Amino acid sequence: MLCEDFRKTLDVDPGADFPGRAAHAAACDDCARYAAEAAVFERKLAAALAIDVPDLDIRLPDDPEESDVVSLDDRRAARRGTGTRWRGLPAWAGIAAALVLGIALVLGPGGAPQQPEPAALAAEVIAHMRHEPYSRVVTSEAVGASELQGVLSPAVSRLDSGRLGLVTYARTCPINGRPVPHLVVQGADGPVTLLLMPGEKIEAPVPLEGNGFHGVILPVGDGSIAVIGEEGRSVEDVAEGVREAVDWRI
Amino acid sequence: MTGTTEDRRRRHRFERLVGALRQDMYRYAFWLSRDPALAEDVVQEAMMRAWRSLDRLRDEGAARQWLLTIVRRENARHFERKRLDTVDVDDLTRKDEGLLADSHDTDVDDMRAALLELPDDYREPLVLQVLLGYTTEEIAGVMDLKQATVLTRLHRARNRLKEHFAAEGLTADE
Repeated sequence: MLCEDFRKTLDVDPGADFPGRAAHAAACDDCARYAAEAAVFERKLAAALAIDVPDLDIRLPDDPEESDVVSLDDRRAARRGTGTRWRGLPAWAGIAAALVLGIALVLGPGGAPQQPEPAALAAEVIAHMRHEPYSRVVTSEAVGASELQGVLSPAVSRLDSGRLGLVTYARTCPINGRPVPHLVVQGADGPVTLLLMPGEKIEAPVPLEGNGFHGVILPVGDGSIAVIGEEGRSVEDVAEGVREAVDWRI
Repeated sequence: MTGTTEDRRRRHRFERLVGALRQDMYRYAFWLSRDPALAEDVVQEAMMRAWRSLDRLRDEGAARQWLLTIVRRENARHFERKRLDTVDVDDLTRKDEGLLADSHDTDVDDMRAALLELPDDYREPLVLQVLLGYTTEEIAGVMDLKQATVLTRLHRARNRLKEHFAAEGLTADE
């Protein structure tokens, strides 16, 4: 592969795992540096795009056949007359998050869900799993050290890959508006996806089931780590080691 | 008819499908329109249209793309209806100063300002790829473009952003 082709491919998709990527980066210091810089650039791009989302006040008609959608002009006029429409999170949004994709909630001592947030986080994680299916492949080709470091920094100060296993995919992805390291490691029972989420604090493990996936979100310090495999495959070996394998930078 | 089992089931299905996708819908709408208030309206209108056509969604695995396509159409409809005056990026930047400076990170704020200055044709595939995780093939489908065109636009979009930072004497990759 030529350096120009390597860089052009990165400019199109810095997270792409194209044939020869690792080998070329290992053989060319300049291109390895280019890839590391591209990873940093991409994280900033993802962070910039992930703007805060207001609590949308979504209203549905009582009757599904109700008349046409109210025009934007009408709603803008209504907004001018009534002030802001930013309101508290509608109840249906929380309910939907809890129900989506058959996620099992961890119940508190009283039998009630501990917080709505873990369910919403679980929904976000599972929704994200629909993407990058090409990352979940059995392979022995590890991600390069500089590329991995580029994805981990600045969220993670230490990753003990010896405890975790072979890291075969690394990319920065948005979860709840924050760029987080998305890794795939080769577990004993197949590829296991890890989402390292330093800003998503939870109090107790949140099991994930459904849509062909199986796993858990583990509380780790002031953040959490999602450990997800395919349905019917064990992720326990990775889940057991991951808490000890990661230190947050902040 | 309200309150019937069928109506409750339909609402339940809608909420299950759409609840987790609100954020994606809003962000996509914002980066298409570059206007927070308009994005909110577009999402609201898209939700209503999705609600009315919910029964036509057979493959629930396609809900995300279905909803984002509705958002895209609603945004286009709005601009077709209004034939809005050309947006002055400087005005927009000033108007949305709160949004742009919301991150408490000057690098991110600078990147947002640069993104707002990108031509729509370049910004949209970047949003679909980086924010929403679409493949280039999926982007081509959403934007009704050839995949080669998507690749070119993604390449040029990133280069323009890098040129912006270089011209401003800023560093986005350090």
